[in-house]
Amino acid sequence: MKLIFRMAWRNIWRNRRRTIITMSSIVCAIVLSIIMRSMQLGSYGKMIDNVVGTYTGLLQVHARGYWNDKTINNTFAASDSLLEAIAAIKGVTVVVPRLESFALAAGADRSRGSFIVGIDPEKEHRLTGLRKRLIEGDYLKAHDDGALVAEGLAKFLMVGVGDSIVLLGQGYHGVSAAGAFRIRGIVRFATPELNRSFVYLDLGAAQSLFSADRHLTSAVVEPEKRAMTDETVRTLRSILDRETYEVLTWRELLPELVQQIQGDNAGGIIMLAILYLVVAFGIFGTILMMTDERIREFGIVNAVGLSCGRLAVMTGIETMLLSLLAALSGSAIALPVVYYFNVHPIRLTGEGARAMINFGVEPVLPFLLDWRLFLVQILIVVAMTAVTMLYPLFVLKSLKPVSAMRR
Amino acid sequence: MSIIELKDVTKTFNAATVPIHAVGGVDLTIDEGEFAAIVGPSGSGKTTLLNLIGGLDEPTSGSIIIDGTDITRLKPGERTRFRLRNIGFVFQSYNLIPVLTVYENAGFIMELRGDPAAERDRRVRRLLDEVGLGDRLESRPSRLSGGQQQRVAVARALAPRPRFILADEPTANLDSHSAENLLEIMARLNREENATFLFSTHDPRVVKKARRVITIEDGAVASDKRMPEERAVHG
Repeated sequence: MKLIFRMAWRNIWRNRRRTIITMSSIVCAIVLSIIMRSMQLGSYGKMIDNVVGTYTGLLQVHARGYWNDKTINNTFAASDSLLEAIAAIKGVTVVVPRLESFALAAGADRSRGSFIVGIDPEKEHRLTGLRKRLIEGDYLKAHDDGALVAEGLAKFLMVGVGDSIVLLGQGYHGVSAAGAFRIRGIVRFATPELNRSFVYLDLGAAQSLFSADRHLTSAVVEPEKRAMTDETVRTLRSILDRETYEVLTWRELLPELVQQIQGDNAGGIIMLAILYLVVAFGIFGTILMMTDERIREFGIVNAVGLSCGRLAVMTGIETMLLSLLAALSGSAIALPVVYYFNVHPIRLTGEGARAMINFGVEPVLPFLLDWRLFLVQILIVVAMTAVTMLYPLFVLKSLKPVSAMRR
Repeated sequence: MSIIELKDVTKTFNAATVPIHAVGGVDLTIDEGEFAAIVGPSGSGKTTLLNLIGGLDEPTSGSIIIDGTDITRLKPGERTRFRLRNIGFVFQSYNLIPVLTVYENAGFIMELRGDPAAERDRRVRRLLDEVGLGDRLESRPSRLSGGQQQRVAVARALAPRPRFILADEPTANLDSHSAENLLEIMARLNREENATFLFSTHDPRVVKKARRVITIEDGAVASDKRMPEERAVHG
């Protein structure tokens, strides 16, 4: 085997220029694909974090059927023991209780349909950074009887901090819900939809308004990392009664976002496939030449006793060594680039950046630094190489030493 | 004691129009330690016969028995292993492996066979010394003359002590000095190691050295002459 390996290594360097050109094409493909995928996946991560972090959270617990029929009647009684049991799951950083419903919000002269969210102010801030959205007034305190009103809604109702708004709607099991709340602060959302409809109340005040004492529409559960979402869901589903509760991840809560990412991702994969196809033909060209120009030599070594099987191993080692060396070199070149842009994301400027800021998204393009990204690219090259290796195998399978030596 | 025995061996190539009978009904026996030449005009079937004896090609009919094994019954993979264990080859165009050094080329078959490294080292160094290349161990074949390359090929063929060596026109590409030198070496190794040599050749210098001359015409043995013992020794 040592002999076969030695011959394979030296055969690679027989035509140094050709080997370097082939390796360069693989190196370029690997560097480009790693950087491209790292940027693409990094931006998806950022997009998910932004959307999820604004309101939805990574996963939510509801009363079964709530997500398909979002009414105040589809709430669940949230005992302290239930919330404590969820919070005790390994990796869960915070459990954020919410009671959400619709009501008519009215100022002195105008009214508009609004989305009322009863929250635990501190926990909500930990999850969504709500306090940072405050542009005027104060943030809610625990057991506060005031309200936070979204900027757009406040403007429409022509109300400000210190004014009162009246909320009028339907409470739990058809009870009428009506209450007046002093505006403690104005919050600004980048998303117009949120900005023109959101009203935040303290959870107790909201439960009282909707006559839904100790009831919640959702408990947002935040694992330590996004990668722990599925594991946390599994645990939650194992401890919660499936007939009473539903546990949904951000993928189920935000299907449009998932579709948008999938569509964009497919485009990126098609680009990579084209790039790799071009490189595969390059590798195949080299293998074709390396094989055809040595058929006579194959005949000779087979004549003196080197079996076709060992010859196949030798050509396989040659091809794999060439590709792996190039793939590892490409990864080594890409690694510092990806690392740098992971630590120092590209900052966007101009119109694009302003648009992102308006949507409450930080205008940066972070790169994903994940060993799996590198491994996948290396495996793609290895798989391509394995396919191109079929050619020498095909040639060797039908090798006849006499006719090969005549070439 | 015979180590090669051909019984009614024929080889027919199926050309596009008419079949070509390259070898027709050859019966031949080669004994251990022989220094024999197969001669004949171009196209007479010398090389085909040598390829059949070496197990590089399959006969259309007949049997070829090497040391008691009928190689015509072996599968291709088994024939390759048989060649590795029993037969040494010297080709007209040297056919060294360009990526290996002189030392590695000479030890190539022994290494393939898995012979112990120390034994291989001793044998290869001794043979390369004998063929006058003891000082070129690390050279690549491309740095050697044709004669030197053919001497490495002879060392490669002899190193594993095969049952016999087949040499197809070994001097055809050599100048007369190199050819004489190579023949001297092969004759000496035949004497000293009792190595069996079977050549196909046009070269009168080879014929002159041979102790047995088998003439092939139209694929059949036309004559088979044994020469006096002194010829090979003194040329």
